[in-house]
This record gives sequence, C-alpha cells and structure tokens, in this order.
Amino acid sequence: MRSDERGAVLLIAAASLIALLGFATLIVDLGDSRQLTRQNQSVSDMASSAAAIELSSSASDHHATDNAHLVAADFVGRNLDVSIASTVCRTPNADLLCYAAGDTYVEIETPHAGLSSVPAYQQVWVNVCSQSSGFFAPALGLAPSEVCRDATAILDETIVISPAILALDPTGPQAFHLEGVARAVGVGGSLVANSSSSSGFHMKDATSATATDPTSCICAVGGVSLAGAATVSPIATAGSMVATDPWASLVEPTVISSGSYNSATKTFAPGLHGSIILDKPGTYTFSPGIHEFTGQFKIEGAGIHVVAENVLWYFGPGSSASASWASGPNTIRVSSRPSNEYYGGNNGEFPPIAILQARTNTNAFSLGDNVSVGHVSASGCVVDSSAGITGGVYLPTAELQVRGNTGSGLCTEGAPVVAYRVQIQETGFVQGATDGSAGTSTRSTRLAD
Amino acid sequence: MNVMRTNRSHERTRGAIIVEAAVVLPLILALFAGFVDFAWVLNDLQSVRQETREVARDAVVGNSGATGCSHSAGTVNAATEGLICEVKSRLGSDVVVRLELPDTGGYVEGNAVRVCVQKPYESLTGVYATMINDGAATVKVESRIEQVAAVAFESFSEPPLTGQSWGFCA
Repeated sequence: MRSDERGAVLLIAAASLIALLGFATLIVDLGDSRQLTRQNQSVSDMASSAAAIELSSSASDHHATDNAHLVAADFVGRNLDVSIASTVCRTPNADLLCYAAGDTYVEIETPHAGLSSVPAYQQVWVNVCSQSSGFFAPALGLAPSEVCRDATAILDETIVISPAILALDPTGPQAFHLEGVARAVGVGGSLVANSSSSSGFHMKDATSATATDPTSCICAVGGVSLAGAATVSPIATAGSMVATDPWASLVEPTVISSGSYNSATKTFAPGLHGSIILDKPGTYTFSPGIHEFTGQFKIEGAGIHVVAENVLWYFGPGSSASASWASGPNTIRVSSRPSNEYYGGNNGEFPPIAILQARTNTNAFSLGDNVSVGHVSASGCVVDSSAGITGGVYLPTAELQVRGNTGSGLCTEGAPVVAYRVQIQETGFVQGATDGSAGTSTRSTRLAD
Repeated sequence: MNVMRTNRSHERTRGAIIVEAAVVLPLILALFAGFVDFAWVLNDLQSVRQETREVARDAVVGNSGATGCSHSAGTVNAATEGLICEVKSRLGSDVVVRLELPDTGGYVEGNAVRVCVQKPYESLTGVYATMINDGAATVKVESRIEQVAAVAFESFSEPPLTGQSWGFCA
C-alpha cells in the first residue's frame, strides 16, 4: 500500500455507512408507516363492526343508518383516543359522512335510509386516514404521506318472515301488485312477494301497503317498485329472504260424497258441488264440513249474504272450479274447520284454512265490486259473524284478483292470505293476518375480506 | 532488496486494514444489530396489536379460551380467566392484560369492551438492551359487544409492567 492509499478503507467505509444509514432511516420510516397502517386497519375494523351492530340492534328500523354513522365515528375516536368532529368530505357523496381530528380523517358510508334499493345485507364502510410523518423524513425535507386503511362490515341477516299476505310466484314481475287506490294490510305480519323480479312487489297511483307490526316488512326477494303516490309503512325492503309457504306440505282433501242444497232453507250440505250461482237475494248457509266446488261458485246478484261457519271451501281440481263474486251489495262470512282435525285420506293435521284452491287449478279467484268479505273502512277491516274470513286463504297456483269499491274487500283473521299472485286494483282491499307465529331474525356481523 | 521492501509494505498494509476494519466493523455491526432489533420490536408490536384484536373480538362475541394459566388478575370467573389465558397463550406469559367495560350497564350488547395489553420489548441482539428492554408494546382496542357470553365477562387488570402504566388504556 502506498502512503497515499492509507485511509482508503475508512473513506469507503464512511461512504458505505452513509448509504447504510440512509437505508436505515428508510426502513425505520417505512416501519413507522407500516405500523400506522396496521393501526388504522384495526380502527377501521372496530368502527365498521360497531356500526354494523347498530344496524342489527335497530329492530324497528332495519335502516338505522344515521345512528350507524355516529357509532362508527364514536369507535374511531375511542380507539385512537381522539375527539373527532364532523367535517366536509373531500369527495362529496350523499351516503358519506366525514369526520376529522388533528391529522386523522375518517370517511363513513352506509346505505341511504328509506330507499327501496337498500339491500338486506347492509354494509358499513369506514376509511381511516392518518399522516405518517416518519422519524427521519422531515429532516430530509420530505413531506408527510397519508396512510389510509378501510374496512367493510356486513350485517348478515337470516330472517324467517311471518307473512300476512304472500305472493308465491318465484319470478314474475308485479307478482304482488296494487294500483288505483287499492290497499293491502298485514296484521301482525309481513306483505311479501317471493318473486325475484326487480318489480316483484309493485305499487302505483295512490295505493298503500301497511304492516301493522313495525318489525314486519313490506318486502320482495327481488325488487320493490313504487310509482306515483304509493305509500308503504314500514319502508319497503328489497332483496329479502324467501318467505316460506306455510302450507307447502298440505295434502289436499278427498271429497267423495255429493253435497246437497235445500232450497227452502237456502242451505248447502257439505260434499261435492257442481256450479253454484247465487243471483237472488237472501241469506245462504253452508253447513259445517268440507264443500268442494267442481264448477264455478259465482255470486252476481244483489242482497246476497252467505254464512259458512266451520267449513272448508275447496275449489277442487276441476278445470272450471273458481270463485267469481261481484254485484252486490253482498256479504260473505266463512270460518275454517278446527285446526286439529284430520281429514279423510290426509296424513297430518289440517291447518286452519277456510278457502283452499287445488294446486292443479290455476283459475283466478276473483272478487269484484260491492262484495264485503269483511267490513272494510278507512281504518282497516273488521271480521265478524256476518262478513270476513276466520282462517286462511290458500291459492297456491292461482291469482287473487280483488277490485271493488269503497267498503268491499277480503279480510282474514288468524291466518294469512297466500296466493300465487296478488293483484289488487281500483278500490280493492285485502287484509291478511299471521297465524300467531312470529317471524324470527338472526343477525350477525362480519368483516368483508 | 526490492523483495524485502515489498514484504515490509504488505505487513504495513495488513496492519492498516486491521486497524481500519477495527474502527469500521463495530459501526457496521451496531447498524446491523439496530436493523435486527428494530424489526424485532416492530414484529412484537404487530403481534400484540393482532392478538389484542383477536381477543377483543372474542370478548364481543362471547368466546373465551381454556382456563388454568398463571396470571395476576386476582379472582375472576372462568369466562374472564379464559380471556386472560387466551392472551397469554398467544403472546407469552410475560404479557399483562387489562379488560374494561367503560359504558354504563357494563357487559351488555351494544356497550363497548376495552382490551389493553402490554408486552415487554426485548433486544434480540443484546446490543440495544439498555434502550429497548425498558420499553413495552402497548395496544388498546375498543370493540362493541355483539353477543354476550353465557357467563358475563368481568373487568380486571393485571399490574402493569415495571416502569409502565395503564394510562394509555383510559
């Protein structure tokens, strides 16, 4: 080594050390940034989960998004030990609320309240941003960078809906349809369209749909389409679970004996009936038992009152068996058989159904003007011994058509109205009820991947 | 003559390299040890953060682990001890844990659970032991109770690590 080479190692080492120190500062600052990233991720996760629980706990309003925003903001503050306040969003969005504290900026998004397009599986999105200044970057004149981490919490819902009026059609548009000034009311249960169509539950004009129990829903598996001045209460829910057909396993009765008619007393004995046409005023009685109609059951006169206590009206498999009730004013009262009764040929207990149409019979069940199957008023419907149905109406493959004028309609108590399609028009009114079994809802939250 | 001068020159060079290396090598080793210890500390912090989150999640959905670990939280019910043991089984017996129920009403759905954990830092290389070993990874996670456990979790607190406090857990 020449004398002028002495110290070269030191020089090289010094240069290397400077480079290594540079790397060291880079690693330390990257580590700090990484640490901040993990912290923000944790805060986002906790805040979004807390907000999703808020949606879950608001049983009376499935879309309690305002509270969810506040809860998410609260949990950001709790986890970061900061007091955050509302601020203007950097990117304005109708669903977005933003908060800030020091160099922390928080965005919280939940679906809009009250929109029919809100999905059943609601989500809360939280994005937490903090400034990562680093230890050495400021000394090197580098500006702080912002570290953002977001999380989406999903509210899973498994809801067993207890329907008061149910349209079974799985795909058809407007399976549950109201127009004109028609009304539908569910007492203690939900109004449900099982159709996956985007307009499965369709309302227009000045119609209204009401579920008296606020935890019940106006809902459709597909979409709820509201037009005109249509009103719903509570708010409509699209994307709901399929409501179970309560009588899907029902075994239809077998009626062998002929029914008879006593013209003197205007009384029908149970059994098989051909076509029945009531067009003269009077009170007609159906004796207790099963009455199977093989032809049309038509009411087209005025002043006709029908009383059928403790019966099953069965619109059998015959191709022409159907109901067409109009003209009037007429009243119809039907009550079901005892629910613990075993019908001949059936393997199980028969449910409390008052009106049943065979699955192979797709003829529409039609209720026109001036027929009161229940005392309909502006405030609802009353079922008593002169009008209305105590028990269920089950038309698994047929359409329920209800028109009519003020004061007429079809009302059940103690059991729902279940039809393949439900079409209510003009001043038509349909009121269904639950069989007493409450709907259940199981909810849990999870973080999206 | 020339050969002798060359040999002497090589000896001088060797000596100079050794001296210069003796000056530089400790610096490089210290730097290397710094990398290792920094990464080790960062890893500890990440682990504590992750596991605290896991335990907080268990607390808010009503899960708890097996009991029977050694702890200084005093007398607590089995569900609560299960939480403590879960933390220690995941992070080691040298961690200390504190659980608070800060909201009115305590352990009910919708209220918060606050889980705080301290784990002592450790210098893996020993070079920075005096600087690192006095510190601790401290993490606080506050989560919302989604589903209460059959047996309610109780508030508890182990004594903080030496030289540390639970001030960050307020």
